[in-house]
Amino acid sequence: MGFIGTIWNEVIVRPFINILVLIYSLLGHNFFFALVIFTILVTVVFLPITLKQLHSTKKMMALQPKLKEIQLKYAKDKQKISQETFKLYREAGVNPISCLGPLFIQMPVWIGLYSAITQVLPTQPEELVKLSQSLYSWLPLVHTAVPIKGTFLWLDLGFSDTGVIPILPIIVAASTWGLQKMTAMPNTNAQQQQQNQMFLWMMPVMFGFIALTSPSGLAIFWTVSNIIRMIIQYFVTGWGGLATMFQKRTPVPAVIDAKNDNRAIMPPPSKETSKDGQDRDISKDSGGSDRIGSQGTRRQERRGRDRGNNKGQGGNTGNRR
Amino acid sequence: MQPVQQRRVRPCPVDPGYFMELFSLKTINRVFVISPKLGLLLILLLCAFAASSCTKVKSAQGWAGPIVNNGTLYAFTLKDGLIGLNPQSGNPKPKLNSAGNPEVDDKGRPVYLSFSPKKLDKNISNASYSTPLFVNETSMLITARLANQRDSQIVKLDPKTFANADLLTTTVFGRINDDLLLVSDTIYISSVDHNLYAIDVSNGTPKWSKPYNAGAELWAAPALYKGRLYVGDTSGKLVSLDPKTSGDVQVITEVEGSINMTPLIVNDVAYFGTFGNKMYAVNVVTKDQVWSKPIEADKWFWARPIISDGVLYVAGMDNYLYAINAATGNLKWRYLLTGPARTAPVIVDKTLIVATVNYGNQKGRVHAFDISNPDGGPHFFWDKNARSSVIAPLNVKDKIVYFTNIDGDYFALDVPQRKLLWEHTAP
Repeated sequence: MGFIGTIWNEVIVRPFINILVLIYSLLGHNFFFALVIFTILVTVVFLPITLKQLHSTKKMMALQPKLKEIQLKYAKDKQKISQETFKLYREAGVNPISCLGPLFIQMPVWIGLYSAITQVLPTQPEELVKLSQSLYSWLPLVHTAVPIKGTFLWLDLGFSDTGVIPILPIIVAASTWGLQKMTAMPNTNAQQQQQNQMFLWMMPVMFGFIALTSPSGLAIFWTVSNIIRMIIQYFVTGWGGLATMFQKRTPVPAVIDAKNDNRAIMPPPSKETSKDGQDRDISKDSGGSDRIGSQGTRRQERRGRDRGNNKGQGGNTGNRR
Repeated sequence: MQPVQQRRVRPCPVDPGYFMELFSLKTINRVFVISPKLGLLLILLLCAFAASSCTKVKSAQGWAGPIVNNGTLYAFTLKDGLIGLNPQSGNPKPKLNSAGNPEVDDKGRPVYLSFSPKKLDKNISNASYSTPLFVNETSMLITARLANQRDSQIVKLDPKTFANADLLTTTVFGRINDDLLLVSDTIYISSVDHNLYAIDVSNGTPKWSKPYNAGAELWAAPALYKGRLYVGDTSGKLVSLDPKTSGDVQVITEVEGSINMTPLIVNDVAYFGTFGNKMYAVNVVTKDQVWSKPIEADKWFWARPIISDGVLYVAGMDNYLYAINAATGNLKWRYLLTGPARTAPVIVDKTLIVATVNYGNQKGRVHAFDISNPDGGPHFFWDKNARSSVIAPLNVKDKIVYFTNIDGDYFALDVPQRKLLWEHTAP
């Protein structure tokens, strides 16, 4: 093992291994709960960095309408767009790549976590030899806890979920999708928007695929960390893209009643009802919160596209710009 | 005038340069220009494959010890499965036909003695954690991990020709991590699935109405002493039971930490170590602790101890070799080895041989100690480089110690001569 490998092992992987085994030991030898608690602990430790990243993202989201204005205004002068964009960022005190910094800080830790989890859950006995060298001799309870009992419900956490229906990979994919949907930043650039859409589907598929061949323990770690991040995200930026899904489920009677009396039954806050009985999104005009505003923009764009393909049915109400 | 377009000669698809060009940044860039979606898709797919290969469940390697029987050294390799070597030279043994002549393949090359469990069944891997067991002149047993990495099966075959290979029983056992114990016509199998099985070697049928369920994982083979089976489990329980019926289960003792070794039972005293970093001596008749307090180490005791002239020798995962007064439990001496030891020491003519695993930059080694004076201190003789971790059991035949390292290299160590007879490097 080289110098960097030793540092990596001693500073990141080994402490994680020992903490994880200690939690397992303290929780009555239940590795599933140990993994959940461990993931929560790590997330809490990184909470300040995560919050910083989320606030930065939120600011960026708030600037999207202005960015769009700049792009429309100087559509033929790319240099001017750059200048104005830069100026806007400077005035708003936003660094577009600042949200990447925390990611780079957290990346080695997450990789170290993967390594720790796979070492703590050895699937083959020879891997225990390596684990024995990673446990601190001065730390009580960790030695007696090994070998780890890695079973939980139908899962053996050291092995992949190979059931007829791979439930865990599906859960991983679903939680990844949910997180992606919440964090996806609305973009004024159509191509960029398309790429975002693709990421929204590809990342869950990718993680689901990886979860098919990875130990279930890792898949649980991904799921739990996704859920925790969704909760944090909710408190900082709200439901994000997920909100539009909930809004779609608004009961129809509200629209019918609104024909008689617009004030009798309040429609959802980000919508108004048109005369032809169809929903229209007015959040952009209402100057609501950044989050709602950004959702509105995206919904309008989507409607615009949809209706563009189906002309003559209600007109292009969404794409008013 | 239109420029004459030269037709581009398409390079040969097997040319490595073609692939280099295919996956060059320029090409990737071109894909992105043509279709950003396709480009992203390709990159994400590559990431998915790379990540899944990094995080996928690891395959079993095995730690079956090599053993000599009837002039053949039986050893395991991941590539070929069970192989037969000449114990004197380490060369592969040729396979003999029914007339007793060496077999050759279609191209006239000699065929060597080998048997891959994979060829018997695609669901079986070549990894084994048990030393081959010889039932009689015409039958031997090996265990093999299944490809799912969770289960094991037992294969019987002819030890001379490696022919007539078949599953001993259709029963699928959980992981078998240690040797099988043969007592007359019954083999006893400890499994990680919590069960101790008793199987008839002649027909593969279970000897007990149901296997003994320990309620915890069984990593080590049972020991037979005075007509009773003794087995330790990962909950720290040492029990004895009737080998004929699996009944009359008696808990001998319950200690802190997993018991991952077969207890050594001498003069009614069971010596065993645990993952609780302690070494115990318990009287199996009275169930009392023999020593006033157990021997404590910094790390696990995984290697089975050995006793000679009233001294118990045991190597720990804390890199020490301990010499303990077997009667009193007093520590006589301890010696710092180059690494942890997982395998039991062996004794050849008052020379104790102990093997270690890699530790830091130090590769696994085989150490020799003079134990001719049991009352003296540690007398280190010599050591040999094993090139990598030794985690499989050592076996002795005619004062030669045969051992293998985790990379699949095989060694024959002549103890009286203090030299390696040969080394068989894994292909």
